[in-house]
Amino acid sequence: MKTNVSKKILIAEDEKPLAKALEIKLLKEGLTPIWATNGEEAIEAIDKDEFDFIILDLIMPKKDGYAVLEYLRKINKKIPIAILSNLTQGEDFEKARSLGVFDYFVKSDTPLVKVIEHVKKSLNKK
Amino acid sequence: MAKKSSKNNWLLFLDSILIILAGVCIVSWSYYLESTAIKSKLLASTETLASAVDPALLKKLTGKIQDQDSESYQNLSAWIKKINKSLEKENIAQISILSKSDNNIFFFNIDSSLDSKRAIAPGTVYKNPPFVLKTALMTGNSFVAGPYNDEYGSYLSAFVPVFVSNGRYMVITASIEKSKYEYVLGNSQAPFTITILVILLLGIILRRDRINRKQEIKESENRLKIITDSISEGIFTTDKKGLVDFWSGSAENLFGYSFDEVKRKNIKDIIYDKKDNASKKMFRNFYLQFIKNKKNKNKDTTETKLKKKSGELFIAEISLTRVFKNDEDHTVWVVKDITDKKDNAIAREMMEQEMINRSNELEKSNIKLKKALSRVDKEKNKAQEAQAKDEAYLSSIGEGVLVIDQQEKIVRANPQVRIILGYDPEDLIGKNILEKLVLVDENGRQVDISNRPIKSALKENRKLYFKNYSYISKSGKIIPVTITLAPVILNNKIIGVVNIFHDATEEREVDRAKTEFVSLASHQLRTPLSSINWYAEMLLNGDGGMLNKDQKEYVEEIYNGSKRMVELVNALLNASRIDMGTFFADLVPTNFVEIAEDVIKELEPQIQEREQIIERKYDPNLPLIKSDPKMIRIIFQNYLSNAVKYSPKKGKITLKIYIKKKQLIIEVADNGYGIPENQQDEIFLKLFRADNIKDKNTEGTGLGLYIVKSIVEELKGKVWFDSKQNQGSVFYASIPLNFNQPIDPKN
Repeated sequence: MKTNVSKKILIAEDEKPLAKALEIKLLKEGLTPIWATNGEEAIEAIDKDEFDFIILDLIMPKKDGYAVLEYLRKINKKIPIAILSNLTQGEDFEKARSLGVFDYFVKSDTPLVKVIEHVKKSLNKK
Repeated sequence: MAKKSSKNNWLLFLDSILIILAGVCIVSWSYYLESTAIKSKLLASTETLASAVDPALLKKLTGKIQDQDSESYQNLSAWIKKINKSLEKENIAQISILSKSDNNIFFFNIDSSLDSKRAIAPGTVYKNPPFVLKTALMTGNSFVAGPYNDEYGSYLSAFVPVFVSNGRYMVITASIEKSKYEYVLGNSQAPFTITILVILLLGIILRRDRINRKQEIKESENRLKIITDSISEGIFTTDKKGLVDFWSGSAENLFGYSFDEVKRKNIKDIIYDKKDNASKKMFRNFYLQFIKNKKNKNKDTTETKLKKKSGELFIAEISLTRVFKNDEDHTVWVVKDITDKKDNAIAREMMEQEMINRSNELEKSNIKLKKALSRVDKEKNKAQEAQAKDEAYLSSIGEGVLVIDQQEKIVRANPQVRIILGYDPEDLIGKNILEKLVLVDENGRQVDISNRPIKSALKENRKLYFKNYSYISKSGKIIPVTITLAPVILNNKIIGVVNIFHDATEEREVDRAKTEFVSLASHQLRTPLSSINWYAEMLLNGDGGMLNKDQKEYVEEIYNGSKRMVELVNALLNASRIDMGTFFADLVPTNFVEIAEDVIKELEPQIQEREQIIERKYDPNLPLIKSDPKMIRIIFQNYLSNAVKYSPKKGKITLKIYIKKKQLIIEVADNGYGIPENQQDEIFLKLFRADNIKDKNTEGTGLGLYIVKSIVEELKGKVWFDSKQNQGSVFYASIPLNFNQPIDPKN
């Protein structure tokens, strides 16, 4: 666990309770969560900092999750990402996939534990 | 004919015999007449001679050699010689005077000038006189004798006695040599002429007979020919080998072959069409049987097809008759062309019926005609009206209409095409639709010509409907359209396609708004639920400190309630998409077993809690099938979660996936509560929940089976079930493979 202390996780999530729940859980896992409340903040954070993982919501004010993904593609930065959204349409899955993200979780259908497990697993692969 | 001819021959033979006999008789008779004539002539000449002899001179003859020098003898001799000369032509060889003294007959030979050998001196004894000479000397009667033989040769002689004195006769005799006599007889013209005449006569008779016979035959032949020629039946005869030996003119007329062409040829090579089965059958079953079964029948009739010289086939009525000719079986064929009769019979019947109908109708027609005439104008107007209507319809409807022929050429376009796409119909007609109109898909990509819907419409015999395409207008604008392609079918062949489309810009916007609304509503509903879920989860996991038993139970209720709420949101979302018609199948290669296993894994907690057993029976050879995995997931989720929910503890659930009759079948069986019989009809209705489970399980949304039915129908499949209350239910979903094409796993 200590090996993960330095690992920074960006949480791009406009819904405070959800972001907080993720934060609590990630901290418990010994990770360093950084919260961006919208897409713009997320891009700023990406510019400022180096992240080991991004938990990305899609519907956010100012700039949405897709914009963040497009930015990452633009600056050619490759960070493992999991989309955590309540959008359930096939088109959204498709769009995410077309932007290079294959891990898509519907928040309401996914227990928190499962999300954290996925993050941990992804970090361990690195 | 045969018997008559042999009889004629016999008669001819008899005739000939008689004629020959008659000839022989006539010849003999003529010989007899001739010989008598010579003899009487000789006698007459001799009597003339005798009457000319002076008996006084005869008296002076002594019958001695000295007489030769006596005056009497000299005078007598000179005188006889004179007479004899006058009789020379009678071929008399010798004139003698014969007399008798004592028992000897002796000569007073007067003239032997004709033959010196026979110069007989007077007084020479006649040693072998003919018998009649003695009679003549004794009786004084004249006789003709001979031909006879004496010491001097063979002669024919006339003996004429001359009275000398006292019953004493001297005989004057004139003789013709036998050879002369025979010569004269042989030289007679009569027998020759007669013979010639007889021969001529015989010849004439025979000839006449032959001519008669020939004429008779010819007449009978002519008679037969006239008879056979004048009838329509072809008549001919064949011998026992089937070779033609008589061929009538009518047969020639019927078949087109002359007698010379068919003479001694086998009948089966002439009138029998080897390619025609009916003809074959006729020869095998009819003709050959007729020839074989001599005892049974001497006449038989059939109908069959025969061939003429021209190759023309005709229906023939054949009648065979057996006859005997020269001790051999022959077959007489009478062939009648009944083709016309057959046709005519039908035609006549039809015509008769037609006539009756016609005459019946004629009256009606008269009345109708008047009505019709007045109607013609109306009809004319109607037709024009209909055309005008078509035009008006085509030009007034909102849809663009393009009629496409088999070569993908536009043959008709209505004015609406110009309004929607900017193209003048005149610019489009005659052009290939695939080249003229560019089609783009929902992502704005141009559709390849080979993938254009028109291509499949020209192949598939069904109406096709497309919602997500757009045309590029003349000005280059993307015009979203809905396209309906209806094949035009003539005699079971697709001869073209009617392409009906309309500007779907507004609809697309409405659809998008609907989808967005549902999507947004669902998203917004999920967000608070997600919070509830996660925090309840955190509490249960002890993230906020350990909970006591009651607290844990209460939080669990919150957590379950929230989860049910999520399910409800999901179900409502799907149901509303179905209702709004925005739930489309997105076909990709789909692994049904994988999805089923995934769903079972999700349900594992409930299955374990209820201690249920789940049995899987998958067809090991299931291919990947083009389908919509999300939809398939919903089917498994609903069928399996229902089976889990509505079966008691320790129940058994069986999941089968297999292919039957080109359908993929999903079968989920449980031994649960079952569905009350009186409610089985309603089970797939929206918001239905069976009475018997409402109190047992409160979790159901009443939307699950409605969604499954809608989804399966979207995939062109069917849903059904078998259920008995308190025994269990089996739910089925069938998905046709031809709609959701199987994919070769190697690709």
